[in-house]
Amino acid sequence: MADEPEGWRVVVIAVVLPVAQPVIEAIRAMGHDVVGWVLARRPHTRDQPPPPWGEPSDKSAPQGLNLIMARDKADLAGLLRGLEADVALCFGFPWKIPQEALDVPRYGIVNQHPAPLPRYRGPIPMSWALREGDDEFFITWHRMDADLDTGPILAQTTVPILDEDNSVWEMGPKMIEATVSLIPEVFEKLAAGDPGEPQATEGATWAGFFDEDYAKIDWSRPRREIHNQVRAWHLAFDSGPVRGPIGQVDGKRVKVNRTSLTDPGDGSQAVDAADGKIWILESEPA
Amino acid sequence: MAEQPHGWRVVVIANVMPIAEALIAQLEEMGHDVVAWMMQRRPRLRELPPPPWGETTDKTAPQGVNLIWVRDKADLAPLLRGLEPDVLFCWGFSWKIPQEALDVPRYGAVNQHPGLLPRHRGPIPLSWALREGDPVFGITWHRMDADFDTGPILAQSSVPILDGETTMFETGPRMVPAALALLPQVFERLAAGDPGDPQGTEGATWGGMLGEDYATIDWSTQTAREIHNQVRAWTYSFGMGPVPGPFAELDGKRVKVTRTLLTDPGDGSPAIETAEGTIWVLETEPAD
Repeated sequence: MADEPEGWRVVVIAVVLPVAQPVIEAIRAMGHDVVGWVLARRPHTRDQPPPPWGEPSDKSAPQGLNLIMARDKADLAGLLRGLEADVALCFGFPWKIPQEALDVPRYGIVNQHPAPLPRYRGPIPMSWALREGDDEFFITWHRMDADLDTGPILAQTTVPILDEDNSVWEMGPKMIEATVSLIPEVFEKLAAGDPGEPQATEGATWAGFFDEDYAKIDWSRPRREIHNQVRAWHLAFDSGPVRGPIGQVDGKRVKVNRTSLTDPGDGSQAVDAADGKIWILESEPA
Repeated sequence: MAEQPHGWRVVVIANVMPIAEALIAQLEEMGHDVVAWMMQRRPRLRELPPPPWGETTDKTAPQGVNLIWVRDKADLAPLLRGLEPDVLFCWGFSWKIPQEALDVPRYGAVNQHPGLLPRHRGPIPLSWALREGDPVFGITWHRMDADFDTGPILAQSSVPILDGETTMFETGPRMVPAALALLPQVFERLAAGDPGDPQGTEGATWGGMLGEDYATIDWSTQTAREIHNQVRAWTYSFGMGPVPGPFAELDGKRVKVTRTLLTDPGDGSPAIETAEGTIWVLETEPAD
């Protein structure tokens, strides 16, 4: 058993507050100093409402660390040098990190990607797991290289996909817990200089944004397939070019945001699919 | 006439958004790259309401700069090294910046101090200008050294203190442009390697936080102007001191006086005869 490293200067690179927070806490609990939380500045979101958990700020961010909102990926190397990082953990970040920045931390930069890499590389891996009817989500920690989601794998685990996982609020916490549980193994391997397991060249797929071909709900399909379609779009957070999924309900076109395979008992409308009922928990005019 | 530099990598250190915003805009206008705006993390403010201009976030802060909230002054030097600045501009920051950090920028670090240094060194120079009955608020850009407000002077200016001004929301918009107007001179001297004019020891004063000895108004022994300046001195110290003030008796009640004028605002505000002249009391708060 390898020695557990301690007292590393760790940088967390992530843009979502409820994701960054538990990772930061877990790393501190392992005896490391989280010297910085690095976010991306996103001018294109300037006119959008704040996320449900509020804007990251001095007040809302975890205390005791340098809070950095980087203006451009070209600045990342200098910022990481300034933080004198031993290692950086990346966890949901919109930019490809340049090689110059990857070279800064002594033990490298590792990325969490929620997929059975090399399957589902790209921006919406969990959505593709649902679309493909997988019965579990994967979580992969891998060393970052200059390409997206291609570096050698350090640790992997799975989280079962349950019918009652109707939204990110059910799935997110389980994914975070599983992600955090792998960090000790990741750090041990980094400390030991373990290069990681190269990703197989076979079986690589790209989990790109959904298109028109997946944007319509066909109620004559099996209900679980429709439930997966709705959840797949829900987990894509409207980040792609197309809005969906759109279904006809009572002669009206609606965008279906959340469904259930059991009757929630709150008067939600039920629709007949090929093999049974599916309940619409949330929809909006299309 | 010395040459005006362009294209420097500038880091701004400031805690107050309207100041940082104006300074960053001016530096960009002058053709420099503001690589970062650094501010302090301030856990003590966590439970307080946001400032009038709102919380500083990705959305509210000037675009095109790295935003860095620094957890501790010991982090400043390495963070600055990573930013590779040519110069550092500091304006309204409460930590003493360690020498190791000051040594990082190629052309040095400069600070804006709202006082006519060496007069009114310290955290609340505007309050002390009022308390001392100065005719002007001073503006000084100086090179930073390891002590507070003691480094060699690069440029100075002043704005008159106006009787009718009672808050920083009125005074700030006059002082900020006056300070920014000095930047070309500051850059020229920095580019020329000019060490700046050492501050004389003559006329140096240091003004700390306001204390008990200045916390009480006596209508019968102080002049209207003294009292007006006292009230503003407390306002311009933003409640940063160890004690609140200033307190006075008004209609038999002890109140904290927060706003006065030397002319009748015509809104029915009570007028009080002082040892010399009349003062109008516009706003008070209960003393306890």
